[in-house]
Amino acid sequence: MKYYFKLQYWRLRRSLINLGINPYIGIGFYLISFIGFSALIFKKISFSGYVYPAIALFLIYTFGEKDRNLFLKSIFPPVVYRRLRIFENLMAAVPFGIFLFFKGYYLIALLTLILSSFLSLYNTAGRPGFQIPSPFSKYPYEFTVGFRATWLFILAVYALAFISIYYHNLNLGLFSLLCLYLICLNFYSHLDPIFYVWVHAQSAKIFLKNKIRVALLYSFFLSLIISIPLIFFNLAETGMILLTIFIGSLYMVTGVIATYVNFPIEKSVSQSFQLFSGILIPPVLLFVIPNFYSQAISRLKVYLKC
Amino acid sequence: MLTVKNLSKSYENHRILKGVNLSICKGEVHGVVGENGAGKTTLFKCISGLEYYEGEVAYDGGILKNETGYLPTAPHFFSNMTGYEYLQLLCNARSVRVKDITEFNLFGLPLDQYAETYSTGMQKKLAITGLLLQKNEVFILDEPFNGVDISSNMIIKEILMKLKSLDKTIIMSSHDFSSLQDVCDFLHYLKDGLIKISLPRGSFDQIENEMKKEGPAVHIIDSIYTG
Repeated sequence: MKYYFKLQYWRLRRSLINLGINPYIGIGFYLISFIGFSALIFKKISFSGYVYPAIALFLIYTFGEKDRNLFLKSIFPPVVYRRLRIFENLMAAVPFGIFLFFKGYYLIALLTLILSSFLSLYNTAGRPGFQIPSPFSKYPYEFTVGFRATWLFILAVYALAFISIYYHNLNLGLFSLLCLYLICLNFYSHLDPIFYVWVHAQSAKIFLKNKIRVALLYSFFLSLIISIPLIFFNLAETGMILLTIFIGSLYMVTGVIATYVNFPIEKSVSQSFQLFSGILIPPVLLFVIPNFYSQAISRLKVYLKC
Repeated sequence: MLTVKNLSKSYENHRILKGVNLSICKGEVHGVVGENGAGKTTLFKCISGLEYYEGEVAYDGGILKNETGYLPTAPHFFSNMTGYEYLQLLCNARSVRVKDITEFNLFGLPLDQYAETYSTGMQKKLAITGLLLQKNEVFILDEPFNGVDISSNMIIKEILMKLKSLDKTIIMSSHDFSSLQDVCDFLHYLKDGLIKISLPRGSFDQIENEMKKEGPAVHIIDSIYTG
């Protein structure tokens, strides 16, 4: 069991080194980010004393992933496996527990630790035995699989948009529209295996153009369900709604290009920083997009010779 | 004709391929055998253009990459993508228009199910179907028989024979020597980064004998059990 945890530490070190980050600085940065994030939740969110442990338990819940647990069960004796899972869950819960304790939520801190140990008894069931229909099957794969993975979130965003219309709260409506684009942007957060780029008989420019076209078309299609009623009930604010769609579309273009900016490896720290800066301050995207585009084209040319 | 001249490949300081030479004519099936880690997959990736390499890969039929169907040892499938959508993706990638993909489901796969949930053999069959739908001229198949059932093994052999008769170029690897014997016109033994032996059909036994000589050190098992 000790070796297992050492191994996890080595894996973390290696992944930080691969990203070009000194492991000690990386872990230090992670700790500072955790404290900053926790402080932000307690400052900005109502009922943070309940939301915060819910976030912790949700993260710990992911340790129950089916395949990972099947592997662990196959290599460790049952008693060791159970001990390992409890210890692993507690290790993840303790930082949250300390923060809750520090904030004076003693009972909730204790409950978080206890519940996290109990969560070690639970493994996710794996995938359901049915296929979710996707309206995007003509041009796989990002929207096809992304829609299936996030359709509940998309429904939630639609619900938020309709609540905004009901309560005449345009800001909430615009926020839901942006959330929808951010969900779509997430479809492009994964790095393609080389095969899925190589297999295209297209030049790098055409390949990227097609990817951007599909992303813009499908994201616009999804946004219509929010934007049409929003415009209908806020006719005077059409300009603002269209501007939000434009910013969302810029996000999409950036997201698609960013996938290939350092292909076939993950984005560098500086590229990730540029991407996040652009998402936070949209005008920055006007500088980021051309820069990313030229880098992505040169990366893609290696695998797409025409 | 597909010609590989003096192909070399290194990963960091480890030299995997040290100047491989091969010539494959249209309508020929070439097999590559070798131990695990001999460099078969690396060789195939280099020929396909999936990896950088030193040396030359020449093809007189157009842009090789755009006419090549590459079957990896373990094809990757995205989660939440059905078999049908995988085939659609491969057709879109090569701008091949197929009216009804399900008509070409030659292995009878459940195309409406997520490809990720298929068994190893089913995934391989799906990947092969995709390569056929793309109407490729060159087929680079890494372990096509791996994980498939006996009847599918026979179907794959039939497919290879059909492709051969259609003048397609095929290069493949397999650890199933008898399957290679059944379908290959030439067999190449890759060892220490070089093609050590290349033989035409009828004399494959020499390669089998050579490989048997270098069999695993079974005596180590005795040491494990006797402590």
